[in-house]
Amino acid sequence: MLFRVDPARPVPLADQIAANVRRGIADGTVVPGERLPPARELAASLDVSIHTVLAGYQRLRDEQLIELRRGRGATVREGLRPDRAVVVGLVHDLVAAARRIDLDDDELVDLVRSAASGASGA
Amino acid sequence: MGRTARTLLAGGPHLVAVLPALVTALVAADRMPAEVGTRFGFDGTVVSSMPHAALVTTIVVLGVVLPAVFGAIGGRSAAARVSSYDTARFFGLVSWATAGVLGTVLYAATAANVDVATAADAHLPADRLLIAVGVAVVAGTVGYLVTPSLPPAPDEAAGVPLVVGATERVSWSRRVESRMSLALGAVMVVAGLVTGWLAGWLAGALLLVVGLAVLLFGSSALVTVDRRGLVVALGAVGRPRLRVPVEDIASVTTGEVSPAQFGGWGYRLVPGGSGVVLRGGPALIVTRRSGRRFTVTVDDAQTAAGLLAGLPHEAA
Repeated sequence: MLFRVDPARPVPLADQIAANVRRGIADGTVVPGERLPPARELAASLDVSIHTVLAGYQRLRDEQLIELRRGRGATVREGLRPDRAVVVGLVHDLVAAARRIDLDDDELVDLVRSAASGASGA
Repeated sequence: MGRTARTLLAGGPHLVAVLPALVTALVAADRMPAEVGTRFGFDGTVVSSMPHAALVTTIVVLGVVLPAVFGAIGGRSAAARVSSYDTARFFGLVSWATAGVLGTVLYAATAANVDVATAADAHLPADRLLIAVGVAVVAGTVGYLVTPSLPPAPDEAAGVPLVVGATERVSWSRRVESRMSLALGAVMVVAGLVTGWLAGWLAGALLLVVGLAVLLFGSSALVTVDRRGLVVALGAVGRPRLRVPVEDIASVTTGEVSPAQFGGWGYRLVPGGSGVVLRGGPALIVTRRSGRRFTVTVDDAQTAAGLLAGLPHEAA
C-alpha cells in the first residue's frame, strides 16, 4: 500500500500514518487479512522513528481496524467491513472540524449523541 | 507470423519426431518380441523392458503431450522485454533440439527390437546417443533459424508520475507470494523426511535443508519503493535484499512477464538483466543507467512505477 506523510503539515506523523491505512482500507487497496509493512521497515522507508509508526499502528488497533500480534506484525482484521474505516475517518474529520471552531469536546459528543438518537427515533 | 503459425513451429517438430518410432513399432509389430527392450545400458544391453502395446502407448502419449506443451508455450503472445536475448528464437532452438534428441532415441530404441527373438537380444550401441546429440544440434540450429524473432511487447507508459511534494515522504510496499515455491518447498521437505526415513539421513537432511531454504527465502518477497529507490527483501526474514538506488534508475515501466522468459522461478539472471520472478503476470521493470533491466513481479506495479517516476532523481 502507499503511505504519504508530510512533516510540514500540522497533523502528527503517527496520525498521518494511521490515516493512510484507513484510506487504503476504505478504497479497497488494503484488504482484510493483509499484512501491513513491518514497523521497522516502514519507519526506515519513511525516515521516521519506529515509535511514530508503532503509535500509528496502535491507534488503528484501538479503532479495531487492525490486529497487532507479536511475531505476526500488523494485519488488517479478518472480516472487517471496509466501511468501518470510512466511518472512523469521518470521525477524525469531524473532530478536526470541531477543533477548528474551538468547539468543546463535550459539546461535540452531545451533538453526536443527539444526532444518533434523532436518527434511531426517526 | 500469427499465433497459430508460432504454435505449429514450436509443437510441430515433436509431432514429426515421434513418427519414425511409431511407424516402425506398428509396421514391424510382427517382427518384434512381445516384450520389447526400452532401456539400455552403456554396453548396449537391455536393462528393462515393457509390453509392445505399452511402447506404442508411450510413443503416442509423447506425440500428443510434447507438441501440446511446446506449442502452447511457443504460441504465447509477446511479453514485456526483460532481457537482451531473443526469447522466441531461443525457445525455437530448445524445442527443435529436444524433438531431435527424443525422436532419434525413440526410433533407435524401437528399431533395435526389430527382428530379435526376445527383448534380451535387442542391442543398442551407445554411439546412437552421439548421433542423437548430433541430430539435436542440427535440429536446434534449424529451429533457431526458422523461428522468427518475436518483438517484445512495447514498453507500457509508466503511468502518471506521482507528484511528490518538497517536504513529503512516500513509501509504497507490497508483498508478493509464490505458490510454486511454497509447493516445491513443501514437497522437498516431505521428500527429505521420507528419504531420511528410508534411505539414510544424509541424503534426507540435504533435501530437507534445500526445501526449507526454498520455503524461507523463495516463497515471498516484500517490494518497497521509497525515496531511496527500489528494494526487494526476499523471504520471510527479508534477507537478503536486492536494491536499485534511485540514482541508478534510468527509466521505469510495467508489463506482463512469465517465468519462462527467465527460465524459471526465483531470483534469475538473464542476459542483459535480472529479476525476482515469483509468479507470472504484472511486473515492475526498471532500466538501470547501464541499460540492464531489473524485473520484479508484483501486483499494483503501476503505482510503484508512477512513484519511482515521480521521485526526485538527483543525477537526472
